[in-house]
Amino acid sequence: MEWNGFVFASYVLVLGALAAYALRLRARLRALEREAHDSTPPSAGG
Amino acid sequence: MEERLIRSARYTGLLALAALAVWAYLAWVAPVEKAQGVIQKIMYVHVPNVAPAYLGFVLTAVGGIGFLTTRREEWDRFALAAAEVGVVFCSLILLSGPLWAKPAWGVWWVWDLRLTSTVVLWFIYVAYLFLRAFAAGSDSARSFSSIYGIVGTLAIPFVYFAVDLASGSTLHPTDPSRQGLPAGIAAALRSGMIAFLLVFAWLVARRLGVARLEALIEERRS
Amino acid sequence: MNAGLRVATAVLGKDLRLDLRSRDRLGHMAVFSALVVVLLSISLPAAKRAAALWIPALMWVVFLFTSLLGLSRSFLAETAGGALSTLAGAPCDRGWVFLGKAGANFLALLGVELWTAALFAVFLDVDWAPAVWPALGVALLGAAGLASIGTLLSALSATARFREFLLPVLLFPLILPVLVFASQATADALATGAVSGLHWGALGLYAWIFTLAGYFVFDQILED
Repeated sequence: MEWNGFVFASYVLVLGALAAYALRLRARLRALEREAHDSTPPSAGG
Repeated sequence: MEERLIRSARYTGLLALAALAVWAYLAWVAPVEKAQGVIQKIMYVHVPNVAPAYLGFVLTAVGGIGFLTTRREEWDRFALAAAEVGVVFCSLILLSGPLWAKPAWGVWWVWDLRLTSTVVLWFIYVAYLFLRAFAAGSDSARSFSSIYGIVGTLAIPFVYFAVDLASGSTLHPTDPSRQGLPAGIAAALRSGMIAFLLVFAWLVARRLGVARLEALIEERRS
Repeated sequence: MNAGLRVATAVLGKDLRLDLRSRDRLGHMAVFSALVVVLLSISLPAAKRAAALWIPALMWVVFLFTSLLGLSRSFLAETAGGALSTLAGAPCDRGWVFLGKAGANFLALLGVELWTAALFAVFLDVDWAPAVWPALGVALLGAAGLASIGTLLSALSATARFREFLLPVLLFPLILPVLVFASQATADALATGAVSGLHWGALGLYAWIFTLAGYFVFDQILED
């Protein structure tokens, strides 16, 4: 199969964008999970 | 309901990964088409974005209806997740299209029925997200964007019909599933559509998880 | 006469009186469209004018931009305190309030359309004579479509930030069909003196569906 710049660019663009979005979601999830854990009110009747 | 969807992300994610692997292999070994050459392989990364993009919008409207009828915020979070992920796929259609069109037909853009309708869909998505961002107060933001999602969905058939009336010819290749496609190409295409739908489902579940955590934290603060 | 109709006519009457007394909305729209048409008539090459197939489309675009001025102020009086709650007190199905509001906008927009068409006749040499009745019909249906979706979206954006940006952004993708149908129908009317059934149907269906949508959904808008 011959090399083609457009083909390469389109695959990188689409897969890269989806991966970047997925990674961003992962980062937000981690940050939020940490924050949720930190702000958990102490359980009653300790 | 929301919990289950969010937790399903793990399985959906694994399935999506497997499907992507299958698709990547099939796209690689698919025969090179005679007329367009290797350029035609861009199809495998352009076409699979269409179903998720349109599905995203339908789900946004469904979430809107759900919220307006039940007033349960999990419906609204679902609408938001579907909209955000949907607009990503919609953008990818519009970005990958020209990358195919230029080498294949010599022009970056053409106002044909499908591309034009997708551009308008993209603008409706963006308008929805702006309304969410700018509406005064979170209650208004939720019901108003639900309404816009529904009204936007009502408009889409009109848009499609209007664009059809307005444009004459189409440069767009005719629907591949209607012609007889060689087996290798059809397989790559179909596996791509399945894989991207799975990726879409996974991303929506993840985005929903983010929205839910944000809501929980917000609730604790108040 | 049922309560809803009474409320609708009351709202319509109030808005119309406001428009005619203050002449702000109507006046601003009239001046704006005149300004744009003058700009166009000066900058468009004179030789191309008569042959311009796209003059009808241009007219509808000018009208669309002009209508934004009026639509964005549709709920100005009611949102003085930052809420639409004053309308919520109506003793009936609140959809009728929407119909009253949309009705007032319909009349205002129809007036602006006729004014814009007259400007195009004077400054851009459009001869409406052979096409008056079909063109008028298109104007009515176009105004109805724009008034219905425009009033609804105006209510959605009335209390939002960046309203002047938000309303057109919300409106334009959804009003595109009317733009296409109306431009083509007007062009047909000018060229052949008739409008196809397809265009009548499309414009009528759009106006009907979005008027219904506004009627049913307005309750939700006033609830918040």
